[in-house]
Amino acid sequence: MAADTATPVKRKKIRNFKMKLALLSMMVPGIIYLIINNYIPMAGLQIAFKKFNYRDGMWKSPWTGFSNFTYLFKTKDAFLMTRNTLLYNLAFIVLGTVFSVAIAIMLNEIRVARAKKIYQVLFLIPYLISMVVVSYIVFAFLSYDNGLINNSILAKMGAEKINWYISPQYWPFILVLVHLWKGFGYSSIIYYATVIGIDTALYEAAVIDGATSWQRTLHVTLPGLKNTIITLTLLNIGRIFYSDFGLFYQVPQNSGALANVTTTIDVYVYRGLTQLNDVGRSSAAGFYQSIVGFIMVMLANLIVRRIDKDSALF
Amino acid sequence: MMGKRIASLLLAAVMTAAGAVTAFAAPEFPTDVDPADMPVVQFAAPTFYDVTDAPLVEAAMNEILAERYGVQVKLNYIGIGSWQQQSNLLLTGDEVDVLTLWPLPLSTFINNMQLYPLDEYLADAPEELLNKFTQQQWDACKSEGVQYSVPNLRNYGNIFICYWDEAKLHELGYNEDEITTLDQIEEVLYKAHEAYPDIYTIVPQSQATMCNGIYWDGLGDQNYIGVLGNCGQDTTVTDIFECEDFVNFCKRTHQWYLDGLMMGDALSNQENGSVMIQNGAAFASLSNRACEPSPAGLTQSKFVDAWSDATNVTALTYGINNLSSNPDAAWVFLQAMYLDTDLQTLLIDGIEGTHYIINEEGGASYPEGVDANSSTYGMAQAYWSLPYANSDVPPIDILGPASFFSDLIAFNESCVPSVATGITIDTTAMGIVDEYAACLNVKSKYYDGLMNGVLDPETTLPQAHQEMVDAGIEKICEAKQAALDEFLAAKGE
Repeated sequence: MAADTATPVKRKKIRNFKMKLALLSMMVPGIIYLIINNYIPMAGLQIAFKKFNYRDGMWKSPWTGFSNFTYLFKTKDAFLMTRNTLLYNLAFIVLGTVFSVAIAIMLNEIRVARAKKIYQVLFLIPYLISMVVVSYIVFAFLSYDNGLINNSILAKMGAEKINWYISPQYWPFILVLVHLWKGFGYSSIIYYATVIGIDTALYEAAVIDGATSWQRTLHVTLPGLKNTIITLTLLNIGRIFYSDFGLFYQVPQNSGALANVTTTIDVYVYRGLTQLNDVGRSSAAGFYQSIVGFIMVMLANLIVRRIDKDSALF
Repeated sequence: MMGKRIASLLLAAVMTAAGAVTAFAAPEFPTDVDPADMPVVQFAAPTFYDVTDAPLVEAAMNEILAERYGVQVKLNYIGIGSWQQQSNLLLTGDEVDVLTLWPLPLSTFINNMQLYPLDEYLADAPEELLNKFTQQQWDACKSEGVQYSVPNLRNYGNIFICYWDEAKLHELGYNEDEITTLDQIEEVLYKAHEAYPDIYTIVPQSQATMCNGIYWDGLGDQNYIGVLGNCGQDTTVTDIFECEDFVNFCKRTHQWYLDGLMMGDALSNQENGSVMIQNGAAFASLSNRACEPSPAGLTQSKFVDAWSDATNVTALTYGINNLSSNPDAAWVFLQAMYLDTDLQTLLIDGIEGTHYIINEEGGASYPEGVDANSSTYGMAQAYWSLPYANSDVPPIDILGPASFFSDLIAFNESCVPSVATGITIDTTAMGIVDEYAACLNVKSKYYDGLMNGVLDPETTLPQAHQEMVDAGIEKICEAKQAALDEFLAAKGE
């Protein structure tokens, strides 16, 4: 009896599988990519716990426990780089999201298709520029002797010149501004893609109900964007212990006088380990960043799930 | 008959004894086989210029190598921008045999076990090779008694000079040869600042570097985490921020900065000082040199005599990859690059008639209308990055007269060596890696700012020193001091 009922189920499963084979096969390249790029290299995590040498390689180098991690926590720099990395990333996440969502909504309000495309391209260009080029654009503004701000703005106002590259108090704002300018085009396009996917019937209904433009944004667009905002924010939280090396090293022209506000974990590791070429300690820093990132994602997702189960990633 | 037997027995005994003494025979490869069957040595070096004709040079070298040494070479030039990363990757496998050990310190390559020990080869090497360098220079490339690399020919020391705009200096009525101290340099700078207020009076040597070390020696460490002052003649290791010579220099440059002599953008500068002087944007710049003439339009005044710090010799050396599949062939090639003038000339100057011509003085010149950048093999100007140029190799005229390489060897002999020359500091073995990484971060915060006079030494130096102490400089100084004391005791000083 049991065999009789099982057979049709099994047959159905096989039939289903055959039907979905074409779709499943489309996943294969992605899975292969993930295995090669994201899973096989995980074997390399062991380097963080080894005294790596090139003769013995990854597998045979001797184990060294947690000693590769100690340098990250030994001095008061540990607080400095952790503070900088976290606070900058928080500012980037909050301001970046607000800025990008606002741009996406404004783009949606533009009715001339050609203008819309031009704006999109203009917004995206900074994202495509290398950070080294950006550092020179910033330098053109901030150079003490020849910069635009000192010579064309402050001089005209009769104000004293500012030596920007030795004045750390300005840099938290400069770095946030540069990051927003460079990145907002890319993230606003992601949000814009969601905005144009919102059912137009909802807007029509709102108009019939007499909703103003602001009310439509507040009650239709923003709720429509909620899931995308949560997903992107969670992904950003996963990288909260990483920093854009180019932004913090190249843009301030590696000026030592700015180190207190530009030293993030990546910059610290680069400055401290380039000469030693210490693979073990470098890997330890990467390992530490990933673990903290993983914990942060899990926590953030837990909080989202508690508040609104449907919006959580998993 | 009996006499013959005794003689042959004696001969056999002598041969056996000789065999026991030279247990290792110098590697040799047959030269009568097809070059395609000869071992190929992968040679990697950084390049500053386009070397599109490297295959032509390689083919010419391979003809000589096949005929005389029974090996072949593949020249792998890697652009300077990606050299450090790519050479590091090459060392993870057997894709390179012989390579330039630069810019990381030799001790880093040794600590990472990236180098093949050369003692057995050197034990059998000809005197001519051993005589290229002093015992102290050979010893500098050793760690725990093991020889890991071979020095090359460069300047092992420096004089410290001030470059001037020649025309402006003479307009002010000064003679460069009569200026010999920093006080005199300062006097000229103030006069120049009055006379030429629209240009920078003094600019960094390059980028944000005011001048590459002047009076202090890092004992095997170009980052100066724990130094000897007084041109390497002091025997007490101190924090750079407490080194008297450094403190005095920073006080002087800070006054220059306050008085408007220094470039305001020094910390974000991207240009070379000498180029800015040539372009008329600056009047002077401090620099370190050996015996090269001044660039066009510039003249120089020496304010510190020639001395060599503990690492000058090991800053760029040549070694064999520890994972090389054929270290014997690698050694045969490497040795030839120090002894065979024909091969050295090819590697440095390229092919005569194509990449250079012999000038009337007996030196080399680029063909008309060609310079290092437009040449298809412009390595002649980067001789210092290649293994060795003996005095029979014609130097390119931009470097100096035909006697340039002999002059360079004589200059090296004239340098006063630091008391620590020959020492090797192994931060890993001393257990000071964590402190070193932390101190490097502190040093990078303050060093350039102080050297360029941008930061006030009165307030910054105590703060910088305190941060160094917090980061563990005392432990580093103690470890370096112990190593130095041991080193000096072994030297009998």
